[in-house]
Amino acid sequence: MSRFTIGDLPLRERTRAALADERLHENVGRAVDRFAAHRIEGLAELHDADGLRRAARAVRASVLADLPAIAERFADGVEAAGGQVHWAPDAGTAARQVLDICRRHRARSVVKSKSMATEEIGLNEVLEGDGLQVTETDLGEWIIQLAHQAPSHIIAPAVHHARRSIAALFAAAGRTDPGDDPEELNAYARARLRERFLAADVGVSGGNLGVASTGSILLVSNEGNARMCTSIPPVHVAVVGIERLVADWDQADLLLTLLTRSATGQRLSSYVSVLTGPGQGGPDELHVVLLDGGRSDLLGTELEEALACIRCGACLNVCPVYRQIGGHAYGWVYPGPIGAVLTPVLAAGQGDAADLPKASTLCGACMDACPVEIPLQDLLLSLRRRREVGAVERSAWQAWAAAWSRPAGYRATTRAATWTRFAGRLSVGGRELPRPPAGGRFRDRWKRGEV
Amino acid sequence: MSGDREVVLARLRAGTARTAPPNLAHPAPPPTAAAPAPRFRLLDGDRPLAEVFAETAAAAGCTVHSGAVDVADLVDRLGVRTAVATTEPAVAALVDELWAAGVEIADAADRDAAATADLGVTGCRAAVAATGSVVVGSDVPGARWASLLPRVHLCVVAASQVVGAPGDVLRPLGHAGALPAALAFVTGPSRTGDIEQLLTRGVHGPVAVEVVLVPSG
Repeated sequence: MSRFTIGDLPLRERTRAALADERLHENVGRAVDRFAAHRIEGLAELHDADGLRRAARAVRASVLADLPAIAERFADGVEAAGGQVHWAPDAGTAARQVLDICRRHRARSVVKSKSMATEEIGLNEVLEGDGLQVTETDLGEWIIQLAHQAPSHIIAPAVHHARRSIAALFAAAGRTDPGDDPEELNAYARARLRERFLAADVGVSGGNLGVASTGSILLVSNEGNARMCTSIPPVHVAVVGIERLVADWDQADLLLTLLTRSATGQRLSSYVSVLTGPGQGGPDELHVVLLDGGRSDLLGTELEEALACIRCGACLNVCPVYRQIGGHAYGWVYPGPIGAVLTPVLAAGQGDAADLPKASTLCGACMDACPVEIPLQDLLLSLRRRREVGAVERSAWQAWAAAWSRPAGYRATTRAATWTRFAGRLSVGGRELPRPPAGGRFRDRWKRGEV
Repeated sequence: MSGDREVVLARLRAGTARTAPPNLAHPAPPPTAAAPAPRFRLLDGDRPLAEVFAETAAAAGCTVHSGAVDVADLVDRLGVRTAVATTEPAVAALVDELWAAGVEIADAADRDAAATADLGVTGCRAAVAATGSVVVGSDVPGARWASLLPRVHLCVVAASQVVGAPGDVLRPLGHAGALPAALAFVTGPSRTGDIEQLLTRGVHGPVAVEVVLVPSG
């Protein structure tokens, strides 16, 4: 049973429920306001932050143009450092590859650090289906794992939960203390999850960036759970989207600076890990699963720049729609503006994924916030243009275009519009028709000399 | 499996052979592999990097001791009874003082000891002034455990080890010879805001970071 609602309810129903949820608005509003304000402070410490964003857009474009060679170089680098690379054309193959690694090691328990790519491939369900115990170790991810929910924000997956609901989840998981003081809840999580780290057979992570020149994975975390997942268990598996690669460390440095400041305003997250091969006290084996999963379909299309995304969440934090409906209403892994672009492509055919680009006011705030200048507004418009339009709607648009292409047609429709004053209060789909102005049409008042 | 590699590469090659229609509304700059180095306002002027580092490390939540640290006071204040330490020369003097203060010290490479210790003592490869970070590598046995598992991480930084920007550590990595298996930038204690966006420390890494900044020479 999927935690994602995209197949269950149409978008309209999902948003209707979210719009009525006051608690959601409080929690989401508080979180995104804080992130958005900190982003501005964090970027202000850089000279010419906008110049860096523009350069980052150019860098990401150059990587995508050279992606086959960069991917090969990355894989060679991982192998030269003693790691193993698995190429996954699709989500199912990726999940199976991770499962095979776990089976080969007769693993019983797996600890995971936060990875959107593993959500995409439904990894937890696949591993649990084979009898493995899977524990999310990012605190927010553990909370929603206990709640059997999908993450509702890229950076703050449990943003929709208040302390009381978290205490209830922990109680169901075995916590005996009553009370919902966040300090105590955090202490419980630390103790409980540390047991899991130390006992796990396999650690699974994502990868914020993959650096081709040295075959390294760059991982960012505040809690330290990513470091623990990738150094304590004897086997580490990293699932990395093929678009997360960069050519060299100069590029990684630029993107890392923009990533943490755009996401939370931090100069750096508490922990930035650079992992190059197994050993030196850490895992005996390092595996990298390189996931295509539909990303290559975007290359060379008008949607290509969506692949530049470094998953910082800045677009969510400024989106007026996300603020009102939260993450779950988007129905899949990625919410907010980037989610509205990626879901119709990566989850094509699931539910009403194609409708997500409608969940936008096209205000463009997302583009202004994006650290790599993804032209999200343009991508949303491209996707809207692809939508199949029914015959009735098509005729209506054509009639309107015909009428308003001629002055006589324009005049006739504005005159007809003034007749609504005879119609009483008329509402369509929950929105009321505006009343015509008291003096009639502007052109009439102009003729009478009133303006 | 090698079949999968060819499938993915073939798709990537097909994708890069296509030309995306140009974006006329927000034209893209020409693709450029060269990535400029970020410049930080904190590094403007001629302030000694160690001085900037002391400020940013404190801002990141570290307790910074400039010069020397009163070990007995630290042991008392933090309730340290057990510790793990690396065998780096930079920490030797401190380790002696900890012994003298009655702390039981194990080798940091002993992961089980590190997991239950009150204090982990390491040196560093570098420290970063613009962010307040210390950099530890797994090429130093036990450094990854001592900086992650105990309740408190104590890091000895020589002033000469402080560089300006993260890029000063990252950019040379491609030309520096073999990297350690794990390199970590540690910027303050472990933190989470996952419960109601209230910041809490110590889930899952150390709850506190103490930095001893020693003048060089």
